[in-house]
Amino acid sequence: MTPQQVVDAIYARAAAEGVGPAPRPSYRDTFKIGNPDTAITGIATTGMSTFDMLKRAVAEKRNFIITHEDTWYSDNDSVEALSADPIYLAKKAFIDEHGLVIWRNHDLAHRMHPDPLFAGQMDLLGWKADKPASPAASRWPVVTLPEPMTLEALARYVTQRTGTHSHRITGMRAMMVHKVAIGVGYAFPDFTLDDDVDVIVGGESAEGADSHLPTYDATAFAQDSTLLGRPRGIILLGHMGTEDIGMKLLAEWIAGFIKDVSIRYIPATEPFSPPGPQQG
Amino acid sequence: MHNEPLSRRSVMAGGAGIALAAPLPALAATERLSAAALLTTGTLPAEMARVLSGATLIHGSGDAPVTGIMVATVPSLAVLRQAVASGCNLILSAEAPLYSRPLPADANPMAKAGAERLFAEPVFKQKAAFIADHKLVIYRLPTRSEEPGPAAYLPLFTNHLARAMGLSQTADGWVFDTASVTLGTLVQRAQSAVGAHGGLRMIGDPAMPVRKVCVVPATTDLAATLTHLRQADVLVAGDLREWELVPYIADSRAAGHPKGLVALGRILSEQPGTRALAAALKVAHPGLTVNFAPHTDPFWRI
Repeated sequence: MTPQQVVDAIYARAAAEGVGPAPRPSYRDTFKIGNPDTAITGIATTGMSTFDMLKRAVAEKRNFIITHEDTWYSDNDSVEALSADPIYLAKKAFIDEHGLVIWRNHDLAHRMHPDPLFAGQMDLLGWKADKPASPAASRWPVVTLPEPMTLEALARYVTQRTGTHSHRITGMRAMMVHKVAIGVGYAFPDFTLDDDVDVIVGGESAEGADSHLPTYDATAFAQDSTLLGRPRGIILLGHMGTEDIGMKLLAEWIAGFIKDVSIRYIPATEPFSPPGPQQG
Repeated sequence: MHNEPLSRRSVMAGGAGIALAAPLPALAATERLSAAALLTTGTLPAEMARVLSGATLIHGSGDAPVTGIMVATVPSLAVLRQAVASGCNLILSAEAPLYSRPLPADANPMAKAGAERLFAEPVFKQKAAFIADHKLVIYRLPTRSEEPGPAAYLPLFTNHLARAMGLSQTADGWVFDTASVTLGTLVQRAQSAVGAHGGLRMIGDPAMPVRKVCVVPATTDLAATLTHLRQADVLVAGDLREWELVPYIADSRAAGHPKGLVALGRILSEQPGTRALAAALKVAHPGLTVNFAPHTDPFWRI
């Protein structure tokens, strides 16, 4: 079986499951490198096709990589500015040497019902989403906690469930949290979608006020809201702290209809080093 | 966060290495400059004048006579309240009070509807009302050049962040020298220079030797930063996207060309610049109250 055949089967299966055609051709979901007609020795899915992840895939003799995020350090995977870059050249040489083929599955995955990236994160967190308050809010899982807890206790629970080490938290440690909105990757919910949301548990979000409305700096907003007597907080788990695990679900989904080749999830893992003792 | 009136000592520290021209004589209340005029009056180092001349009025009237200046990185509600309490009506800040850029005139209907929803939200509403009620005049300071070509970070922010970390200037305005240190030492230096705690993240072996440091405050422009980062061992940055330079640097080790990353968070990376600007304005306008509102790291961790 070849990567092209697997990709064709993925689109066919998604369509059969009711995923409508893309509004426009995706520049993200393309082959990034390698020959799509190569014979597959094994498939690996991952949150991001990092160099380290590729080495682990090769160690398992998996030559077809299905990645959720980019390979070449930008959303459109342009290599124009990288042609003489030593890091790019070393990664490319490794890919060429081992005959790897990389295909990105980003936009299609997010159009599936359920979206495996959100579903994977919800499973990891051990939560079930409330019934959406409105159709507009249905993209964002909102969870009423079984028991209210402090932000500090919530942070402890969430980071134990996800196993992250490069998380960041803002808000009063002692604030009581009743309702949480979930984000994954750079898809970050807005506090105002549900006024009762106390805390956002998400991946990453741009800091500062460079976005155009209706996108805004959630950290600065949460701090002002807290000062005005409506405590709000944010737990940032990082991009791979929220979108790696969904690719495990995607591997399981593909294994349901691709029976001829072995497929397994290989996490990209967090890019950041574990914190030093001083980072309190 | 607390209000920090500048002492002479902090003025000296903040302006270290900068030759300041003689300050203007104090102005009587009746001779108060308008906010717009104040931004171009008084002799300031070129790096400060450049930032002030590029400042954008985002709230209030530039014609309003200035009663005092509050310089801050983020014009949070806490900062605005301190400004009012200390008689300052002119706010100069690197960020914007309503957490975003103003809605462009040609915004699409969906963006307009989204903005309207936010303006009706209690936090937005109360903050906007506070600004209007107290007739505050708020200018946003640019952190990067608006000129075409690769985004260049304004030296006020780059140089003061580098100086705070004890780095020395090179001909390349982005890359700074350090006496040979380890990455671990550089992280500690960065931490104490900006007061980072839970917001700091790093990539790399703490024992890795460092000589060249690429310093990029605020946000991190991918293409331009990459060009300069190739000449450096480490990137010290504010805010970064985790699908751009973060995996590039994470890949560097497996590629056999290890580089380090010290991500400080946007606010703390801008703060040495705003602090230095406040110190210079204090000297340039001795008749005016000039306050600086420092921010602590917005993030903590467990």
